[in-house]
Amino acid sequence: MPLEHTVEDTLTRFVHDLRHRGVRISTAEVLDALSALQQVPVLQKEAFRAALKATLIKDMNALQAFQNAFAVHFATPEEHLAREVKAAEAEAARAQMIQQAEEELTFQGETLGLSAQEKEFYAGLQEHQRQRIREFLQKTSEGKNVDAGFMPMVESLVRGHLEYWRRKLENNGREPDGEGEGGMSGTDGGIRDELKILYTDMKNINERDLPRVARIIRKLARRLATRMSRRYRHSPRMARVDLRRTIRQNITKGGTLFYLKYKARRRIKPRLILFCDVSGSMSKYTNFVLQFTYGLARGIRQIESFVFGEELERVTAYFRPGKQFSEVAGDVVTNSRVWGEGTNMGRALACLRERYGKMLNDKAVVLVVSDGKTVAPEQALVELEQLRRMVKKVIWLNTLPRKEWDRYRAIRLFRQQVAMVECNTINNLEQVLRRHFLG
Amino acid sequence: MLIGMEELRQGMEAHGYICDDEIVVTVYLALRLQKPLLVSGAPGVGKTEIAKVLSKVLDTELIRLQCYEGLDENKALYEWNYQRQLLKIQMARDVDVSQLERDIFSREYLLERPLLKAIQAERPPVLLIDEIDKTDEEFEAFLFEVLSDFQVSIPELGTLVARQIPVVVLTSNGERELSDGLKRRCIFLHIDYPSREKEVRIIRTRVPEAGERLARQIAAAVAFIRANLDLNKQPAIAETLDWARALAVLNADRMSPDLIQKTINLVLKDKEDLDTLAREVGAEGLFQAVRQVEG
Repeated sequence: MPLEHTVEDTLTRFVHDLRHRGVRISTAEVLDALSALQQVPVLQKEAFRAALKATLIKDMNALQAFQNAFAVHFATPEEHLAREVKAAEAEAARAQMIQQAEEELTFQGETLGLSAQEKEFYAGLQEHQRQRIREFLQKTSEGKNVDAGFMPMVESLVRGHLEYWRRKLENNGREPDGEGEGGMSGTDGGIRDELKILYTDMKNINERDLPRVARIIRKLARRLATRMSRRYRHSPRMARVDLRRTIRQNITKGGTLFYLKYKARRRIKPRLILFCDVSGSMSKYTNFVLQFTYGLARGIRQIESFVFGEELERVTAYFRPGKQFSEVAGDVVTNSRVWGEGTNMGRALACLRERYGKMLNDKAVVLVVSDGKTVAPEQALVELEQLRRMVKKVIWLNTLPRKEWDRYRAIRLFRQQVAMVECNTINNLEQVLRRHFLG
Repeated sequence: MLIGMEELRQGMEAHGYICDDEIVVTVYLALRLQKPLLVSGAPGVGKTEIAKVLSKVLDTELIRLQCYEGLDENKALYEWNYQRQLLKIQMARDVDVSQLERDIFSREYLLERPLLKAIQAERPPVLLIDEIDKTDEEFEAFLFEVLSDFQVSIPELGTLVARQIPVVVLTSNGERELSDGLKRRCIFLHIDYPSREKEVRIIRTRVPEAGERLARQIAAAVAFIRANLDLNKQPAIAETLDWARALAVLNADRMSPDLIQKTINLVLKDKEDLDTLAREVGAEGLFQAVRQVEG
């Protein structure tokens, strides 16, 4: 029997599409889905969808991809038609945008030789942004001694303009356009919001989402604080019989095992030292640094917090439990002397070593939160090396995207000494804590 | 477990569990395919309740394994009764050693914990493994071995194979990501907060004394809180039902700002959340929002 248009064929195509969209699906799960489809009335779309979702989607991150792929593969003829009409309308709108861009982007009456994507991007800009480019073109066209030979240069300048706006929009956290298929139901919206926060650069998180960020960080901190050790220690809880101690205890009873001794897994209480850069270059991450410190301080008792710019400042006292976040943030920023100034990491590290040397022992883990932009990186490097030798571990959470690290000599130097990880989203943070503390 | 989808829906509703198509289909598939059902969602949305209701619908025993950090095989699977073994050793000093060893490592000295109990049950029970995300990854790995083969090896006794495959329901609050291995072996269900209409039905079913009007007002108030306030802990169905019961006990047939003020701590159980409500809308504002929904 030819495979085409069978349930197996349709399912295989659907799964292939889901995998293409980044959803991990094993062959065993495909077989489960096939078995599931034999158990539900396939003509009832909701039951059919529920069967596929239950067997193929095990992670809420993949829900959007599932909804989109399902809408494409299992649409009714009416939905197909509506989709085609919508696609045709979108194509017409796109053509119109390109045409409008061609009409507006002219130099001495000639249309600029830009790509379709560039024209489309131009048409998608706001009116005042387009106006600036048009004014530039007009002035250049009318310039003295400017002839058609300037065309390539003008094209290049307009491309530069467009690239500038593209970067600016990216930095301001403009969301990429949606796929325009399917769509989430009302109840799924909450999950999507939560996921969006996980993957948003913390400098772009708005005030409204901050409480949610705080909760996620607090949850992580709680897990850190209650992490179990793999080792068993003597415990009054009746967890597991400790044979060695039991025998030792009962030697006086002539070897008769009269009293049992137990052992249980003990909790690991990490000793953390937070060393956060709050200089001018990190100002966009102020909220992140504060939330991070506040969340960890509420979950972990043995924590020391320092902020630094050109000098070091101990801020542990501000973050004592029992205060609201807004109160803490207000106090720290108002009273701190180092907030928003330049960065001298070497001096701050030297101060940490000289004044708080007792804290730097082989049980302490130092978390550095910084973008690595500092004056006198050589001094910082020497201090960092010393610090690394004094404590159990130094982990550097760098808010700068990894792809930009190679551009900075200081970062290249620091990476030789400490484990540096990119950390500008909550998801990054969770990965780091999982790998270094919870793994 | 031969039960039809409609029969399952009716059975769940008869035992007070109001569910939509997705829940029924997913639970039904888990039963038919004999796969563990992994239920995720915020605390209080009715994850654990699924297992309890299932045991009633299927008229079988519910065996519960409550997970916590540090849970190990001894507490989940089996443990030897050390005290009893020691007593036996003390009492039988002159008995042949190999015979004694055989005796003290027999079933008589074995303490069955929930997993072994479920595997050894005569009739397939519902095995509820609650809050699996609280355990560590080692235990999870051990668990999915048990759940794949439904057999366990006890060195002194050999391999014990399940007499009947139990209906397994695992719940997770999403505290941590579960391993791919475990998820792959399960049928997955995510339960979100219910829609307002569904919540009214739940209140009417579980707290009939609350009355239609009060039920609608409670559901509207809770829906408003969930949608408009950013809270540390959103009120779940459990809190909604507590609120409905409390208002019913106070003989209320409708809401009022005063009643909201006096009973809101049944819905919001966090000082910060109570402050947020007071700051953002207050009891009067919440009451007005409910009236607006009522039209």
